Amino acid sequence: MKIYVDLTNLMLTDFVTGIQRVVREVMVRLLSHEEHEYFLLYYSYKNDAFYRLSNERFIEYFVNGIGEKGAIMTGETINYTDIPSGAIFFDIDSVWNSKLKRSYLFPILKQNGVKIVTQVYDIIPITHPQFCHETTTANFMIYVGANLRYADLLITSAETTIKAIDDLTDRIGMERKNCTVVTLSSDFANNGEPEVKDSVDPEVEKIASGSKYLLMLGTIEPRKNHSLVIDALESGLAESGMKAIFAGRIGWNVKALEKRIKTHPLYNKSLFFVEKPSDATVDYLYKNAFAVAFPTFNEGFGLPMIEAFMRGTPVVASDIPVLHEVAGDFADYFDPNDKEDLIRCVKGLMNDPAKYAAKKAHLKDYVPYTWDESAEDMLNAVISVSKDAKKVPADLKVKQIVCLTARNDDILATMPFIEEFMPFITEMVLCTPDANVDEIKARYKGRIELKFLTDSQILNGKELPEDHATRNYFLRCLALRNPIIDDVFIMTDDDYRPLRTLTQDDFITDGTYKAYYCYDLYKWRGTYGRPTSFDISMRRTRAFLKECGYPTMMYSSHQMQIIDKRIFNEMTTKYPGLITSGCCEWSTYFNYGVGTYPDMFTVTPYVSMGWPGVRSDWDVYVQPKEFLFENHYDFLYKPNQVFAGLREDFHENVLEENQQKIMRFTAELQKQMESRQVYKAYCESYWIHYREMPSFALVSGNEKNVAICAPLYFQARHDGWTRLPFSIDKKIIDVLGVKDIYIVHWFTDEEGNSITDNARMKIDVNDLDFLLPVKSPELPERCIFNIRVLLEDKNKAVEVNVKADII
Amino acid sequence: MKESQIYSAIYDIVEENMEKSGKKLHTTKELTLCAVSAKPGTVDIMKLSRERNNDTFVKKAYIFMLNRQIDKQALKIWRTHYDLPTEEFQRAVIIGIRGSEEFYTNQVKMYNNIYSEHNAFGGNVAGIAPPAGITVPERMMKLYRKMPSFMKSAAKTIMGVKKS
Repeated sequence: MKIYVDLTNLMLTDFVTGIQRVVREVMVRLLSHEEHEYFLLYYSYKNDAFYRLSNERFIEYFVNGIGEKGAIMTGETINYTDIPSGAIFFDIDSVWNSKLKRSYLFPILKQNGVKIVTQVYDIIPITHPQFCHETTTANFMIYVGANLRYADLLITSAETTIKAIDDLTDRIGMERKNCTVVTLSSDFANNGEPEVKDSVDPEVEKIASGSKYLLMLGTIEPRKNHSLVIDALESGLAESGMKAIFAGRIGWNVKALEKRIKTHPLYNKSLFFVEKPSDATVDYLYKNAFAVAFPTFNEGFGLPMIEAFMRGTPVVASDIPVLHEVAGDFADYFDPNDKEDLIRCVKGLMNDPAKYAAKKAHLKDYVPYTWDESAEDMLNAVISVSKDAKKVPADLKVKQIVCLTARNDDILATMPFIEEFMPFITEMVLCTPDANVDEIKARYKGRIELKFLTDSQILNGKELPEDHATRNYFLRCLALRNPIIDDVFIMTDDDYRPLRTLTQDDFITDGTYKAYYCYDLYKWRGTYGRPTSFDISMRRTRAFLKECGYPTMMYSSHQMQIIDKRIFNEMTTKYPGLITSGCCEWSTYFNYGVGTYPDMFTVTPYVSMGWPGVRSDWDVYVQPKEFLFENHYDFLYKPNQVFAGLREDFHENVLEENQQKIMRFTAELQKQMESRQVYKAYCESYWIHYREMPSFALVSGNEKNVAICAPLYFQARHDGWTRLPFSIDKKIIDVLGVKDIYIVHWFTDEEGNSITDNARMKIDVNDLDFLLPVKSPELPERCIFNIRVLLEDKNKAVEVNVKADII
Repeated sequence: MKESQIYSAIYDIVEENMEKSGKKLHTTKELTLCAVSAKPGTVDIMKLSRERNNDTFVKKAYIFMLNRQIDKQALKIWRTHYDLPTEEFQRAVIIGIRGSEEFYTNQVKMYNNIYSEHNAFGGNVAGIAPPAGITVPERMMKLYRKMPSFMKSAAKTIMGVKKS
């Protein structure tokens, strides 16, 4: 199991206490479990990616105290999208104030089928925001929201927190989350002895000597309710000979309290403050305290109580459910809003030595949880999200290919490629119009057994929708309910051709179905301004997936893919409206599958050549690492096109020619990638120079004036396609009422002579953020990039000329 | 349930809990939802400029440009400029934050900066923008406050918020 853990906060914090202590103790133990692979991460805001931490150096530093903290970092970067499907992202650190908001990260992880497990220490900023720093509250709302929406499992340290989470989800009106409790330990080694290496502060020894004292350990913050102890001192506790020692650091929103402590008449007489005590001092204070006072208004766990119990020191604690759950009858309780009750509780122990002695004796029965046990439970909880995971059976044999086609010539031309390169396929189901069947039977003489599902059989009297995408989905849904189709099969179109010998392993890997994606539906622009039926289908699919909370990758990769019809049919049963929705059958199926059964799928970049057919069609989102299929376009074989001179049909030397095709197509793709690299380098250098990213926008000011904002200069690769982000101010449409916008661009030399043709593009007023495809001049030179925006219905035009360096 | 409904409901619950304790939340639902959607490390100034309320604009600018809620001290300073026309105010905020050490350190990538000096709505903001130091750490502000007036003036010039 691959487990990813973001430890940025631990790495940035000097003072290891509270949550950082839990993170450290658990992580060093988890790393000893070699059956799992751990990726410890540090988030770099600058690169918007993670750096991997060295597991060995992490242990050396945090266990043995060897080396520098900074040396734990390695140079290896891990992008969010690199975290593979089936892996677990475990959030154990206090990440709510992280710059990488979980509302941004989690949807990306879910997109790839990553499971999310979060240790939720408490939800106090939600239930008791008055005690928290305003920034923490603001960030915590987002953190909790993201976890309620995306986490597969929430781990808490107490049942009380689970109840609070349940109450929250009930109030929101959403399904309750999968939660479990893992009990935390305290800061001791397994033998019960503290790991204390430093020495006790002599000043503290002086303070602690003499009369009895109540100890309050932890950050001074409003929620901890230090005021109550001061009130109790003032109201007679000090007179009874009891002192109070507050040990910790100054937190937030406590300026008034800090002033009250430090200017109090009892300060340094009966009231003491020890700032940032060492481990040895803490140990000393615990051991010598009459009792630990814990008047907190709310807690996630209450670590100081456990630390006190382990030293045999009694605890007087707030009468709140979570403390009862953690401390049981080992503590005495009082109302945290009533100083008199605190006094009663303390005096009850002070004035009754037998009771106090009995209390101390009872603490000998206290059996603490060790960090080894906590870590073990934590690991079991984390991996539980994958334990009952469905897997693809190891003995599964795929033999069937299913194709929806109305074009006999196309499928018959493709059949020999399947016969030759897919030996494991012995059966093909053709979903085809009734009229096509006889001809196919007559012309096909190959080894694959043909089975037919004709339109009339599939439709059984139902009407066929007119729209191309709607029709395809409709037919496939109906076909997949027919028993002629195997539970698991290869789905294809009539023009997807394998390029070399394929095995079942190209579709199933490590007990998972490979899901080949080609785009993120949110980034798909398609044929800008002239959306095709395909583009509209992608938009519908995106809307459906988003609405239902599934990932939104695009799997219409124009290649064969493996389908489990049980999952497909489960989806269409759950969402019956899908059948006639005109969505994309590939993308709905795979996103549903990845979202519902992440352990059954491996999300992987597509391997199809000829998608896009030509470079100008659209920008490649993910570069295929290899090509296993050709998405066959006959125009690519015409003169001057990429496959000019090569044969389209199956022939003796097809394998050699396929190699040539791959080389030529790769070279074309490479040009696009080089253009992208040049553009990326240009953006980076522009940003370093001006602290702004180069970008183009059409904006409108207060006086309804319209202008183009553009960078000071532009750089591009010669003879390449660069796609420039272009935005249009919505106000131009909404306020100025412009409906017809065209963008014209061209290059001129420095004398103003055109060196490229004008390119003109109509703007879709419903899609105002787009990529402007710019074909750069054929040769490297310094020139001018001209952009003119025409507001045709307003008879207005604005123009900008940007210095261009074509390299 | 839509994602935004979850965040929206959580905000309502927190606001209610805060009010029960007799206090008020410092942030708003709009700002919370705005922070939810913020992509780390990038800001589109043109889109940000669609916010026409100066108070909300400056709060959103801090979220997107500095990845944090505005601090009380900075808000106090910006409030004194709320009477400026929208574009002028927005330009001052953007240029002011862009010139701060915090923005520089955060390495945020700014897109469509319509208020950039060379762009349509760009211009000189000296004299309008509060000291860029409002976004630098408090320890630097403490140092600044202790400076004699001639040094304060020199510091402002160095920070680019006052003409020399």
